[in-house]
Amino acid sequence: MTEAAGAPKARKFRGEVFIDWDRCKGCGFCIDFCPPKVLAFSAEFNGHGYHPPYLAKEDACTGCDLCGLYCPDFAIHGARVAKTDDVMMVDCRLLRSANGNGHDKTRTGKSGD
Amino acid sequence: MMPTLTTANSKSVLTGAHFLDGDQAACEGALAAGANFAAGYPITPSTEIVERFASRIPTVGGIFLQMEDELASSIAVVGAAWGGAKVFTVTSGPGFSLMMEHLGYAAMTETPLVLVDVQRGGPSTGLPTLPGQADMMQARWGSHGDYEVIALCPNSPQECFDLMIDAFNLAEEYRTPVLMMMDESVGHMTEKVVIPPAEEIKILPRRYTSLPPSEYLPFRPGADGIPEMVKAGDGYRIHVTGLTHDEQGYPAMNWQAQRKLVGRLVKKIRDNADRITRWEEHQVDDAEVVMVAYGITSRVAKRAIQLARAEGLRAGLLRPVVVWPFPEKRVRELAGRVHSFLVVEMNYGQMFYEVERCAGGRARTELLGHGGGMVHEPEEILQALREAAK
Amino acid sequence: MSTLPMVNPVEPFLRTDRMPHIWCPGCGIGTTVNCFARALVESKLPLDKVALVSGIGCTGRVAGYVRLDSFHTTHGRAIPFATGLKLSNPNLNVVVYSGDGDLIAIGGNHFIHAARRNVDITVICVNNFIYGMTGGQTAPTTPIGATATTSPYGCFERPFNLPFLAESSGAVYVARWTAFHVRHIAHSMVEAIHKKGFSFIEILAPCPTLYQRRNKMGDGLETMHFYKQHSVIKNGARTREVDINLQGEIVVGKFVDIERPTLQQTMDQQLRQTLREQYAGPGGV
Repeated sequence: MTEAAGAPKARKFRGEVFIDWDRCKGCGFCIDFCPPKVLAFSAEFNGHGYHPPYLAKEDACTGCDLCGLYCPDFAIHGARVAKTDDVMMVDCRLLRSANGNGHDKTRTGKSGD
Repeated sequence: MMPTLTTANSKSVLTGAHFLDGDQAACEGALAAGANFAAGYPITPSTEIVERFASRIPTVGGIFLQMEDELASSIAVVGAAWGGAKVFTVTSGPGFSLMMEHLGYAAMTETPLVLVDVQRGGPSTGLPTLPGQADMMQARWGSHGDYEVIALCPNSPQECFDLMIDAFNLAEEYRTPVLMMMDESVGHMTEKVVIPPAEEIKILPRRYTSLPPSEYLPFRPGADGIPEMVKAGDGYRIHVTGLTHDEQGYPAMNWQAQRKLVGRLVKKIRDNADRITRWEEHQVDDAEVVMVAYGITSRVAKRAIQLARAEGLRAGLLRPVVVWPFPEKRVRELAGRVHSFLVVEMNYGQMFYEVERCAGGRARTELLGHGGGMVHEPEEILQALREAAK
Repeated sequence: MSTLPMVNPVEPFLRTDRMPHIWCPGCGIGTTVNCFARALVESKLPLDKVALVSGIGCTGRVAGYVRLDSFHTTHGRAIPFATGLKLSNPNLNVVVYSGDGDLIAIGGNHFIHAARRNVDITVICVNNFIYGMTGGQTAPTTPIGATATTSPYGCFERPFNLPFLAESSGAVYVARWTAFHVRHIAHSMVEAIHKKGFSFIEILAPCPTLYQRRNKMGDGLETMHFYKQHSVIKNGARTREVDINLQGEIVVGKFVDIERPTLQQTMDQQLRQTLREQYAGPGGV
């Protein structure tokens, strides 16, 4: 595939974060150490009274998973996903069975889901 | 389910008639039983056991490691057991005290091992080279918390050999640490020890499970109250902890789990006490005074019976061979018909309290005890027998 | 539609039936466990053959959360347990994962002897400068002047320099990182796990509830920023010069990576040399 000289290369992948809502203890590591600074504390509380993060700048996430590496509670991880995948359409019950941990809410990183 | 008994490995058995002291015989007993890992720390009068093992095991196949202290020795053997080895360690009074935490850890994690205490004069540094029998209650109660122990007490080098094999078999059968309570006299006395051919020595193999990992729970008991075992590296991904735990081995910090687990640990020995305990009797059938003595003291007691009988005093001896669980039933039975018990021991009263408790006031219980350092004289026992017969 | 990576890559390594864990918000231990999980993936070791041994304390609880053959032993005695385990079953890759108090105070004697012997184990020491589980007492790593419950007017004992202690005792691999240095930690763990001999990794981590709070160092996140600002990577630095100075710089890096025969090797060699064909070997399973 050739591109016009000078035009930026089209990215086939984007980054997505997967947050285990109820495991998060709101420590803030992921938010501060995300290189493109795409995470922020959500306004909502989880069951333990903490503010989990959400993906505030969706397009800027690279899926580097540094957030996952920092998280002391195993509550977040990032991944590169194909641009065609529509993560929003995934049923939360599928997420729970995939994780096998029985948690009620596994968010796809959008506040207000 | 109990695995079938196998026979000893001829490579490790020193078949023949030998002239050995108790320490050396104990080492041969461990080898005959198939011990292939020992850790220890030098302490008189037990050191010779591991010195001999260090010399023998490299030609048999196995490891001896002198650790930096008794704390390390007693836990290294637990680690080796979970790696699949058959293990033991040895010590005397001060080291026995140091090993107490890990005795409890082995009981709590149901780790089979043998711990030899060659008793010497105590307390504290005491008399390193002279006998004592003052660790007997410590053997039973030395670690914190509720647990039961099995403890054997040889009175000759031959028994040091024979009972070591029994100790390993009991450890495997009940998935528990087993104590060998020797004393310095027995450890350092040299006598004929006959070691049979390997095919005559019966060994109980480790009770490994045949269940696959998906069905196995490390601390779920079988019908006999004892769980089957695994070793690290076989894909079971077990968790072992000294914390109170559930059948999966996970910490369970609540009173229900405590009673379930600790209750089972205590029960698995108590319910089988009659099968585990063992004693010998000498001229007890018509005895008016029955002595209770163990280890080297029991041999002096036998001489005292001769002296007593010569003057018409009907003395007998009940010698516990398995000291814990104590042969309670037999003592209770005898209490109903003997005039009195005389407990002869090299301490100021330890097994005396067990005998008195079991006698339940139906027979007088007297103590002839002293601080150790030297065995009793037959004549002083005779004098005490005369008093006890009154 | 492609398979989405929904499952956290750490999940297969965890006993997920025991989540959430007991560690406080902002505690660094969980971060180190993430690094460990990544290291296990990278190391390509068969997980059935990795055994983890810990002692008592907050870091000691790691054993209960990893889905490996794991042993939560007595206080200070993880290293001799691991020695017995490794010698009896040499095919295992044995990792000791415990805290500064457990490994260096009550466990100090075992630490130096295992390093001296070069037992083939990896020791991961999470150093939070305190005894966390029991409520925040002084540790042998607590800096002078820092407050702890058993030195309420400030600690007055000189703390250990752990890399120096490890190297001088004989460790063949010595590294120090802080919980901020996640990629370096994971990389060091891979190296240490594969390294033959006694490997030691010290990881500074926040204890926000006790050490940081009592010493006005903020929460876990602020401490991580502190580590970031104050640490300087000096691979190959002389360990005698890497005392931690919380007013100055924290030297991190890989300090020692040498070759020395392991305990098993020296034992085997010596016995073979002396006994020749009579030597029957270590009789491992």
